[in-house]
Amino acid sequence: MARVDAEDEAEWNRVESVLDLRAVLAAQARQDGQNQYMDDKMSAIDAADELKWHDDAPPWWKIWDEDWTLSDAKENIKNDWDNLANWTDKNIFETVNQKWKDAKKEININAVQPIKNVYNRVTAYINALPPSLPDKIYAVVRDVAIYTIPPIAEFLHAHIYRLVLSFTEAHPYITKKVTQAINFVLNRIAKPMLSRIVDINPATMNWADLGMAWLFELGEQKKLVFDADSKLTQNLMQHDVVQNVREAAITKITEGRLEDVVEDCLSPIHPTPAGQYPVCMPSQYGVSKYFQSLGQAFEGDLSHVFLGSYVVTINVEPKGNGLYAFHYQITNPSTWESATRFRIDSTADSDTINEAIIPDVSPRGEGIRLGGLLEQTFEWSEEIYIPAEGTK
Amino acid sequence: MNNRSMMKTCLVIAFGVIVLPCMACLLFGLFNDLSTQNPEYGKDFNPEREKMGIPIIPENWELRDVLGNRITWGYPEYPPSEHPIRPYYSQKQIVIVDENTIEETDYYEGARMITTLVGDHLYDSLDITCTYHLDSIQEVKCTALFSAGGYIIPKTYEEAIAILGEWGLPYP
Repeated sequence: MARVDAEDEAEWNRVESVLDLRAVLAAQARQDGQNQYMDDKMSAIDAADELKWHDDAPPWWKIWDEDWTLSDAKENIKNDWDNLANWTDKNIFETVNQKWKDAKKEININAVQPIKNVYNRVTAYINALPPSLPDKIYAVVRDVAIYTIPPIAEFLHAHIYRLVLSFTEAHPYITKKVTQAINFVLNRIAKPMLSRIVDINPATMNWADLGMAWLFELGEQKKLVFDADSKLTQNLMQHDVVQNVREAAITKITEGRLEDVVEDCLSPIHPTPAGQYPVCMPSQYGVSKYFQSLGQAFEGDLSHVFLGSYVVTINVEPKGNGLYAFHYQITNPSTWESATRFRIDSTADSDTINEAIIPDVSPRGEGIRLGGLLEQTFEWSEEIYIPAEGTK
Repeated sequence: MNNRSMMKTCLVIAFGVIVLPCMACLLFGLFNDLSTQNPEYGKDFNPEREKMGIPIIPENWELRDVLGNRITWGYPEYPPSEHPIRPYYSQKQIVIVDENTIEETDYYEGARMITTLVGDHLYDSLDITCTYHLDSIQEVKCTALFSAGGYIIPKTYEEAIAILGEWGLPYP
C-alpha cells in the first residue's frame, strides 16, 4: 500500500465535502500510522454511515423522498470501500470523490424532476380553470379551501376545542363565572336586540331567521315543525335531493318494487304508518358542496348553507287505482356538531361522514347560550297518479 | 379636522360606545348571580302546580335564564360532574303569555342515542307543554313533542306519560 504523503493533502481537500469521513480517516491515520489506517475498513464504512448530509436533511427536503437516491449513492460508496481489497489511498479518494460528484448529480436530477412534475401539474390545473376571471378566482379559492380546511379543522379540534374543554373541566368555578358573564351579555343585550329583527314564526321565517334562531337560541321552542304552507318548506320542495327521492319513489312504483324493497329509513325509531312504504335518501354535504352552497347563498338561497346534510324520507301510501299519496318528511337537527363537521372521518365507525370540530349536541339552555340543539322537521304531502304498466 | 384627528375621534367614540359598555356588561355579568333572583311563577308557585298535576320546580334547581316573558329553570350546570345521568328531567320553561295565561314546558332527555343517516348524534327527548289560566287553574291543556333520530313526532299527553314511564321517570 502506498503511503499518504504530504502532497496527498490536495487529494484530501478534494473530498472536503465528506468531512466526517475525512475526520475519521485522519484520526485513524494519526492513531495507527499512515500505512495502517486502511486496515480498519469497518471504521471507514461506519463513518460513511454516519454522513450527516442525508440523515440531518431538513423536513422540507424530504418532499423529494419519492425520488431520493442519495441513499443509493451512499451505498455505492460503501461498496467501493468494501470491494477495493488492494486499494491505494489515492485511488480511493479519487473514487470517493467521483462517487460524491455522481451523487450530487443525482441529487440535482432528482431535485429538479419533482419541480418539473409540480410545474406540469400546476400548468395543467391552470389550463383547466374556467375562462372568466371571477370563476377562476372562485375555483382557486374553493380548491385551496378543500385542501386546507380539513387540516385546519383538525388543528382547531385537537388544540383549541380540547384545550377549552380540559380547562372547563379543570376549573368549573372560573368557567361558571365566565359563562355567567357571557350569558348576561347575550341575554340582556344581544338576544333582546335580535328578537326585534329575527322572525321566529315557523310559518313566515326565512333561512337567515332560522340560522339566527339556532345560533342565539331565540324563540321558545326547541323543536320546530314546518308544514306545507311555511316559507321554508316551500323552498325545500325545490331541492334536487327532494326531486331525486321523488323520482326514486316513482321508479319503485312503476317497477312494482315498492312493497318488495323496504328501505331502512330509521324505521325502528320512527315506525312508518301501516300501509305506507318509506323511500329515503340522505343529502350529504362536504367542503366542496359548502363552496357550491356559498355561491347559492350569494344568489339569495341560504337553505343549503344552513341545512348542510339532511335526510329526506317519503312515506308512500298506495290509495288504489294508481293513486299514491307521498308524505314527505325532512329532518334537520342544528347543533355545533352539524355546523362544524369539517374534519376528515378518522373513526372506526365505517362511515365516511366528516367529524365535527365541536362535537357538541347539548340541548338549548345549557352552558353558553349559543347554538344549542334546535330540531326541525319539514312535512308536506302530495298525491300522484301513476298508472300501472300496460294500463292507461 | 384632518384625517388623523378624525380617525382618533372615531376610535375614541367606538371605544366609548362599544368596548366600554361591553366590558362593563361582562364585569357586571360576572357578579350577576341569577340564583338570588326570584321571578314570578318560580318555586313559590309549586303548590299551585301540585294542584294542577304538573311537575314542580325541584328544590335543587337553579334559575337558568330570564328572557323577557320566558323564564327557564334547570339543574345547576357547574360542576359538570354533577350533571344527572340520562334519562332525566332537564328543564322547565315558563312563558307568561299574558296576565292570565301561563305556558309551562317540561323537558326530558332520553338515554338512547341515535346516529342518523347523515352522522348526527342525537338523544331521544320529550317536551310536554301545559297551558293554564290563572283564573281557572283546574283546566290544564297539555301537548307533547317526542323526538328520536331527528324525527319530531307529536304525542298525546297519555302517550307522553307512557314514554316517561318507559324511561322510569315520574310525572309530575
